[in-house]
Parts: sequence; structure tokens; C-alpha cells
Amino acid sequence: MSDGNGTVTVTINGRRVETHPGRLLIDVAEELGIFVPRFCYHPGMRSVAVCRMCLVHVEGQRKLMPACATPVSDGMEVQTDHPRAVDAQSGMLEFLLINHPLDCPICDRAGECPLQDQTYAHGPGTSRYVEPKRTYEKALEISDLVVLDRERCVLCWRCVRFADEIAGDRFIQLVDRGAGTQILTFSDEPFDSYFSGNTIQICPVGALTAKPYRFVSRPWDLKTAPSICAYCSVGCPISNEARAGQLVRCQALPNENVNDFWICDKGRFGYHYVDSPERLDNPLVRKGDSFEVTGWAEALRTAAEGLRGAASVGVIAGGHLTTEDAYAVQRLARGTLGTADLDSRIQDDGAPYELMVDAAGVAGSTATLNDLESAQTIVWTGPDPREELPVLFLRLRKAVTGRGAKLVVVSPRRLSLDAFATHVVRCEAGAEAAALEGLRLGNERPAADDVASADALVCCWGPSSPGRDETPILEQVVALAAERGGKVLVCPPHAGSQGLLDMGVHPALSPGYRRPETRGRRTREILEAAASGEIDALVIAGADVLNDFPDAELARRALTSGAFVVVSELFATDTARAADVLLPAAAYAEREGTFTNLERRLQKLEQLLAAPGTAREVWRICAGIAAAMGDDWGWTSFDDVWADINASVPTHAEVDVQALTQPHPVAGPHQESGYELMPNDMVMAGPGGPMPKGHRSGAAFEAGQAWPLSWELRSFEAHLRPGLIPVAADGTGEVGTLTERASATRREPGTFRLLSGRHIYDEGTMVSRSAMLHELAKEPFVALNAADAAEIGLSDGAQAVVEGATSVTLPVVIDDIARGAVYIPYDQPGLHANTLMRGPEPTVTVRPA
Amino acid sequence: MSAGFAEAALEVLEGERLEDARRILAKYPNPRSAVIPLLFLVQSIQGYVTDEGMRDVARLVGITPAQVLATGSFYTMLKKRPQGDYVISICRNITCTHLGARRLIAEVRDRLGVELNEVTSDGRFMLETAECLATCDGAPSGQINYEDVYHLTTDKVMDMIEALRRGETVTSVRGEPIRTIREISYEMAMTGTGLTALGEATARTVAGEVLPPDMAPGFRPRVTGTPAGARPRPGIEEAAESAGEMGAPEAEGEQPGDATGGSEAAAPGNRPGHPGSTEEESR
Ligand code: SF4
Ligand code: SF4
Ligand code: FES
Ligand code: FES
Repeated sequence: MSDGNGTVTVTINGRRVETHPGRLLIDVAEELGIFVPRFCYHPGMRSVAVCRMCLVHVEGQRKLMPACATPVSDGMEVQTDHPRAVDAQSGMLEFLLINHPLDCPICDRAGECPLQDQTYAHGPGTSRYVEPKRTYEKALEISDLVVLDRERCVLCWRCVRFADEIAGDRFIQLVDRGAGTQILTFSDEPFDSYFSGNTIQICPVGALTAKPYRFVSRPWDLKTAPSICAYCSVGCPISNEARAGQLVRCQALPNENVNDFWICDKGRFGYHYVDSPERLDNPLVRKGDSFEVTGWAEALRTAAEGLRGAASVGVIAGGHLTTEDAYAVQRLARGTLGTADLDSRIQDDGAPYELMVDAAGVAGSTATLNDLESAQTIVWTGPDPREELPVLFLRLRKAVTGRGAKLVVVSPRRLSLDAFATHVVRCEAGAEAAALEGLRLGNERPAADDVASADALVCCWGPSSPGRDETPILEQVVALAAERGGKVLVCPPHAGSQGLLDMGVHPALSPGYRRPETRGRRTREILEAAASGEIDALVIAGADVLNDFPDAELARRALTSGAFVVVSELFATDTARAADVLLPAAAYAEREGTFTNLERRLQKLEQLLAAPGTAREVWRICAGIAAAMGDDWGWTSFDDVWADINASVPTHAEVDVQALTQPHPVAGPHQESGYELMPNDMVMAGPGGPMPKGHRSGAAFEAGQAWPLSWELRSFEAHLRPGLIPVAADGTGEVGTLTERASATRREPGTFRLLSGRHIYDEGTMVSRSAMLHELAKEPFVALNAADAAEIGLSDGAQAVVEGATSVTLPVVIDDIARGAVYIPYDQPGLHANTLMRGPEPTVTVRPA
Repeated sequence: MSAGFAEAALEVLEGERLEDARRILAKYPNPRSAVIPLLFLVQSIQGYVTDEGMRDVARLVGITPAQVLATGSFYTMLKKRPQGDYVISICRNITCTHLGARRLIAEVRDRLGVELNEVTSDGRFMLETAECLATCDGAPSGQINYEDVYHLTTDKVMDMIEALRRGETVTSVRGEPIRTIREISYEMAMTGTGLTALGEATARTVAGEVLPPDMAPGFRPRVTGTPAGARPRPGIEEAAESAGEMGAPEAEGEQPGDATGGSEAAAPGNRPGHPGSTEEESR
């Protein structure tokens, strides 16, 4: 009965449940533990009801109803196991198998295949179809990462809908019609999407397979562990999957708060660096011009001696450290080494995250990603999220194209968001703050009207170009949010960036967003002091400053000035090669830990693999150095680190880190070869019967009796891993105002402001060692405005000499970019753009080659 | 995607044809509605729908070539492979099959010396099969370039093909001279732009006017009640005569143009289910 509060009561298979009207029958049933078989329905996309697999009997309806497209209504009585429904489901499966090649023995999907599982559970044992099957050319490469087998396809449209509805990359389509309908790309236009891998995961058969995973493993031979992607600051939950000690696959785990059901292709295919033979496996100590392999005791002793002998130490940490590592780096710096000179901003040197503390009590976001779902207007100023924060791009796109939120993009250059933005404010480079002020004061119309009229406003900001001083921009962002009662989403670049801020790896922040007694030097100042000899020792943890700091020459001078340098790294990067002591670190899949994402959400990663040689976590390395210097922290385990964090970081005092352990869809012991667990006499039972324990798709289906199915099919998974956003003691969550400052720098004629940004596949330490993705990295180019180009005699495709700190010849791309600025990607094969940069606001001259 | 594309990048829709493309685009509030007529425009230039043509359409409309392919490939009158100047479609559905269509198809195929859906060596003719054309009364029936031809025999089909080969005029049962694929594709493309007769009729019909029956889009004369072989069969030169002989349908009560109304894909002379169609009246 409707209780007047907008709920309805429905009965499904005799069980009554109260729920909201308008919800889909398929979801409501699933919450009761009653699984309705399905192919086309996916909880992350709109229903299309094309596969007819989910037909159920609804009392009073003459025809069977598709549960994925039938909203519940009050008093509805449903039987998912009504004889007519069972008959229809069996019939649909027989139809689907008419043309299916049944090549499970050679199919990657076998063992975790929704078609296989649902046929076992609901299908007929045999087929009446004896005619020849439809055949196609097999193993069609539709992109560099995805392979298509049309014979296996059941035409559920999931891949097409994903490309259209979620990613907006409409390169994969249903072609032809009737029995000849097939999935296809255009002749010479591959399925080039940064999100293509998601289609592989949601394809309910083995029609779409991943090139790097083809024929690599059987699912029951995989050992899996839940983790968090270690690339960008979105922090997508993933499942790491290894066979025989080697990482062979990475899949998205759903979290409705963070990534919905998706990850980007960098997160999915960028794991090969973990197994790279180039990984550092044992400590190295410099002996003259070369390194010598040593044991840890000696390496730590050498490091301790060098640091003890130094007059002044600077500490720099890279953006891929975990929260624990960050805390350890901070303790090593401020505690053991007694220095205030520490920072974790490398490419984002100049990003004033600390301003947020004055405004809102937290050095980070006051908004969550879910706030994008309820925002009426979203303002974006910052990097291109599609390149640098890919799944955030999807969330923004969903808010705008899926829900009709207004999007205002303020940027001096074309961003991928422009394609669906409501307003694009194309300002001069350096005039972003002025443009934002225009939005605030109502001058920048019509965009300002959409900002003014929004009840729920989210202002997003991220560092827009390496090395820029973003203070005036963030001030305006904060003021805009404060005046309109909006929220701020702060988007630092990397997976560990926010955790480093939370743990006080910042010259003006100590752990828990407090102000330290002494304000230390920031990265640029540390490097300057090292170059001048004022700082005579450097500790660098997971940061390739030579290639990432937006002034390569300064970084080079700092590292070659004779300072004593201790580096912990995964690889012998250019920076690592300049070390006196080089300590091998464990990668994200080789350790327990947490990452804090851009909404300050703590999420946990589990260890799946052993680190190479004697490589270890950065927190262990820091504790080792401290102990060698006579300061024993008493840490031996992950939980020890957290006991310390709980005790000394007020924002994290209440965090129970083990409670953050993510449930993994594959239940039971995560152990290779489920066959060992499967007794011989175990038979496949019908619906409701038990699945063999340890079977890959036999994950316990929490709530009920129905047949447990491939986890990719289950929508309830998305609710299971919320993570945790610690509350700042003095953080009100409201954004207070800040004083304004004059903005808009003046442009000097004859030169161009150099704007830059990272691309998804680049020369970064990790992705460049993931062979498959590295091949996709684009060549560098210089983009500029058509009018500017014409003025200096350049056209699209021409070669130009770009001269900054150094000089380079690049092909010209004419693009929608403000006059007076050029854009060069930061780190593509053949060009580290930081070599062109000198000083905080780099400029270049451009002329025809 | 469409913003600021360089027209220089267009490979097929150039010059006057680009003007035509613009006229087509101007008809629709949503440019995507123009995909089908634009593909007919491509077919009118290149004889079939080429990859370059689909790419051009994608650029003009602002969608991906894959989306153009997905839409275009649904329609069998848009061919993605060369089809020659004339497509001979012979019905192989039940009525026609009872009256010998299968043998007819096999014989025509052998006489042409090609497989089904293959173009003859002179590049001019292609034989394909069709499902019921809703002209069972003329069975075995078929179409040449979607104009109906009735009571077919192998000789008769071959005679028509030879006549077309010699450049003579061949008329359909409704008395229309059969035109080439390029010509009819152009007509299909430009429907409603005021540039063609059919276009004008359609436009007037859409505007609510009741046209005289011989002007109605999709008009087809009554050819019912004729036992096969007992009467002169419409074909070469006979069609006009036959049309006259059979008489025009009553002007009153004819509600023309219904099937043409909102559908840019509807084909002239191929309108099963056309209201007021002659079969229904005869039943
Ligand atoms: S390829 Fe897979 S996801 Fe795409 S329609 Fe076929 S079965 Fe569905
Ligand atoms: S969006 Fe960021 S966190 Fe998510 S998978 Fe991609 S790189 Fe990893
Ligand atoms: S029709 Fe409901 S799942 Fe496909
Ligand atoms: S069966 Fe051939 S036209 Fe109907």
C-alpha cells in the first residue's frame, strides 16, 4: 500500500518489499536477492530492453514484461519464476545460441561469461537448430586495444550505448539489419576512445576482448585483489588480477560515489610497468660514476651518514605515493631531519592548495564527485580532464548530457569539455581570474546568468598548466563559490596528490591541514637553494624532477650541484640516476595502502604481488632511514603506521583503515586455480541451486537464493565500497570568502605564453613503461591560434621553431586557443616540454622553421 | 565536431553538389535527419555509397562516419558496393515462387553470367532478389530500379535489359521511363527541395493538398484481375498502354502521399501498405 510518503509496495516471488515508485523492477528484485537474467540491461546506462532476456510475469498483464524497462507500481505482483517467464527465458537463450559459435574452449570469457552462466541457469540443454551458423571474419582488431569477434556477439548494444551515452566516442555501431546485424567500426576509423576497455568488461559474451589479455589466462587461474588505480586523482577502484605472479589484467570495480562502473584505458591497460624488467630490485649506492648493489643495511647507513652530514635538507615527494608513504615522508622531514623544506608539488608547483584551508578548513575539495550529480551549474577551470582525469571527464559529461546541468568552461585553450559545455569563456592566458571575476560580478554574460541562477553550484579547479602561479585563479574560484553558497572541487593531478596534502607534505601545511610553526621552501625554492648550495642534501621519493618539474634546467642544476641525493623510485629515472643512494620502492600492487582521491576520499589497496627483489614501501624506507639516523619510529607493519597516523593527524584520528577493505566480487580465498577447490562430484544445479565453491562467477550472492552470476552483471556491487572522507575538525565544509587580488597579467608582444598539459598516454614514469600504451603516445606538437599563426607565416602542418629555455622544431596545429599563447603537450615522446620552461610564467618565441 | 570543419576536406560533395547538400540540410531542424537524403546524393554522384561519401556526410552533419554507416546500412536501397546503372530485383516470396520465380531468378542470373548481387562485366546491371513487393497480382513480379515490372519471364527480363543496354526507353507498369540509379538517387536526395517533380508533389502533399492521382507520389495504376498470360503484359513499351487500358483509380478517396509524409527513406513506386493502393480495392 502506498503510505503517502511516495513509497510503493510490490510483491516479487511472494516477497513483499517497500520501495520508491519508478524504480526498475530488475533492480528492486535484485535487492531482494532475486536475480532476473539479463543481457542488455546495465545499471550504469539507460534501459533499452532489446534482448528480451529479463521477461517476467506481472499479475494482471497479458504479456510478459521486461523487468529492465518496467517501473514498479503500487500493489504490483511479480513472478520471475512463473512457468511462462521461465519458458520465455529459455526460449530467448535458445535463440541467442542459434548463431553463437559455442567456442567457449578458446574464449577468454569462458568461466566468467554471462551467456555461459545464464545458459546454465536458465537455458535449454540442447538446441533444435541444425542449420549452418552465421559466420564472420574472426578476431577483428577494431583498435589498438580491442579485438572484436562478431560471431559471439548477442547484439545487446551495451558497447554501442557505452560509446554513445557514456564516453561520447561514437566509433562503434550496429551496422546492417535483421539477422545480418553486426557490431562494426567505420572502415578506417578505429574505436579510438580513452574508455574503450569498459566495453570489454561489460560485453556479456566474449565478443570484445582485450588485446593484451587474449589467451593469457583462464579466470579461475587468476589471483585477484581489490585496489585503487595509481594514476590520476580520481581514484577509481580496480581489481588487480595476476596469473603465476604476473599482473595480467586490471578491471573496474564499481563505486557509485567515484567511478560509477568505469575506468579509463590508462587505468585498465597501464599495469605493465609493474612487471617491467627495468624495475629496481635492490638498493644501489654511488661509487664514483657508477652504482654498486648493496644490502639495505649499508644503503640506509650511507643515506643516514650523508643526511646527518648535511647542513640543510630538502625533501620532495612525487604524486604517486600512498597516504602512509606521505605521512612517513613528512615525519622523516619535519621530525627526523628537522627541516621545514618539503613539498609534493612538482608539475603543479605553483598550485596554491593551502588557500583552501583559509577558505574552508581543508586543503582540498569541499565538493564530492556526487555533488556533480546534483549541481545545476558547474564551472570548470583547469586542465583538460579527458587527458588528465579521465573518469572525472565522464562524471562531468554525465552531469551535463545525462542530467542537463549547465557547464561553464573558463580556459584559454580548447578543452574536450567544450564539446558539450553550455558556455565556453575563452580568455587570454593569464586572464582566467579576470574571466572568473566577470562570472562573479555578472559581466561575463550569458554564462554569469547560469551561475547566478544556480541553487547548487560546483566550481572545479585544477592546476591548468605546469608551473603556473594559480593563486589569483583559485581565489576567484573560492570567491565565486563562497558568494553563491557553492562548493569547490579541487583537482590535483595524481593518485597520491591529495594524500600528500592531507599528510602535510607541503611547506605551509602540517598533517591534518594545520599550519606548521615554520613555513618552509616550496619545490622551486628547494631546487634553487640546492642549485646554489644553500641546501646540500635532497631526499626525493618517487619524483622524477628532471622530467616533471616545469624548469628542467633548474632541476638539473639542483641535482648536479654536489648536494647529497637520496632517491626512492620504481625505476632508474633520469632523476634517480643522479642519486647517491637509490632505494627501490614497491609498486601499488605489491603493497597494502590507501590513496586519497580528489574529493579527499580514502580508499584502500590490497597487496597482490611480491615486490621485486628487496624493494619495499616508501614508508618502510623512510622509517629505515630514520632508524639509521638513530630515530626509531617503531614501525614494522602497515597497522603501526596507521596507529601513528590515528594518534597524530587530527583529521584521521577516527579512521579505521581496515574497515575500508573493499569487498571483492570474487568471493572466497583469492587463490589461483579454482579447480583445486572444486570437488569432482559437484554438479551444476538449476536456478537456486549452489554453485561450486571457488568458481569464479560463483561469488556469494549476498541477499538470496537465486543463482549467483558473473559479477559484471550485478548492479548492487556499486554500493559496496564507499570509501571514507575524513572530516576536518575545523572544516565547516562551507567556503568562506578570501580577499581579492588584481589579476590579468599583461601580454608582451612578439612572444607567447607557453601553456602545457599532460596527455593520457605520455612519457610519465609508469605509463611509458607500459609498452602497449606507450605506443599510443602522440608525437609532440605546438598548437596556436590561426590569426597568430598567420601573423608569423605558419599554417597547419608546417614546422615551427619554438624557442624557450631551449629550442625545438615542432609541427604546427591550428587550434582554438587564445591569442598570445601556444600549447605544447608536457611530456610526449621526443620532448619534455619542461626543457623549454624557465621561471614560473614561461614564454617562448615561435617562428617558421 | 562539425564546428569549423574545412570544406576543402570534402571529397565527394563538392561544387554544385555541395550546394545541393546545403539545400537538403536546410530542410531539417536537426541535421541528422539529412543523413539518408545526403547518402542518396552521394549515390547519385558515385553510383553507390562510398566510404569517402559517408565521411563527407559525417562531416556535414557533425556525427562520426560510423554513425553514418550505422544509419545508411539499414536501408537496402543505399548500396555500399557498386551496383551498376540498373538493379533488377526479382521477388522470391511465396506468390512469385509459386509462379516460377526461383527458376526465373536462376535463369536470369545465368544469362547475365554473374552471381546475385554482382555487377555485370559491362558494369551496368545487377540482379538481386526481393521479398514480397506487394504486387503479387503481377507475379512473378519484380522491379528495375524500384519501378514495378510484372508477369516476368526470363526472355522478358532479358529483353528489357538488352533494350536498356541499347539505350532505349523502358517503361514500368506505371508508365514511367526507367531511369538510372544515379538519376533516381538524385531525385530521392532532392525530394522536397523544390528541385524535382517528385519533390514538388511531395511538398504539396505534405502541405495538405490532395493532388490529382497521376501526380500523387507513389501513384501506381490498377492492374488487377488479369490472369497471367491472358492479357498483354506490361513491360517494354506496353506499360503505358497497359496503364491506360487498366484505367486510373478513382480520383476520389485517394489519400496519396501518406507513406511519403515524414519519411525521407520512402521509395517511389515501392509502397506496400500505401493507403488506397489498388490491391486493397480489388480485394
Ligand atoms: S559486442 Fe558485446 S557488448 Fe557489443 S553488442 Fe555484442 S554482445 Fe553486446
Ligand atoms: S580516471 Fe584516473 S584513477 Fe580512474 S582509471 Fe583513469 S587514471 Fe586511473
Ligand atoms: S530486455 Fe531487459 S535485460 Fe535486455
Ligand atoms: S510474393 Fe512476389 S510480390 Fe508478393
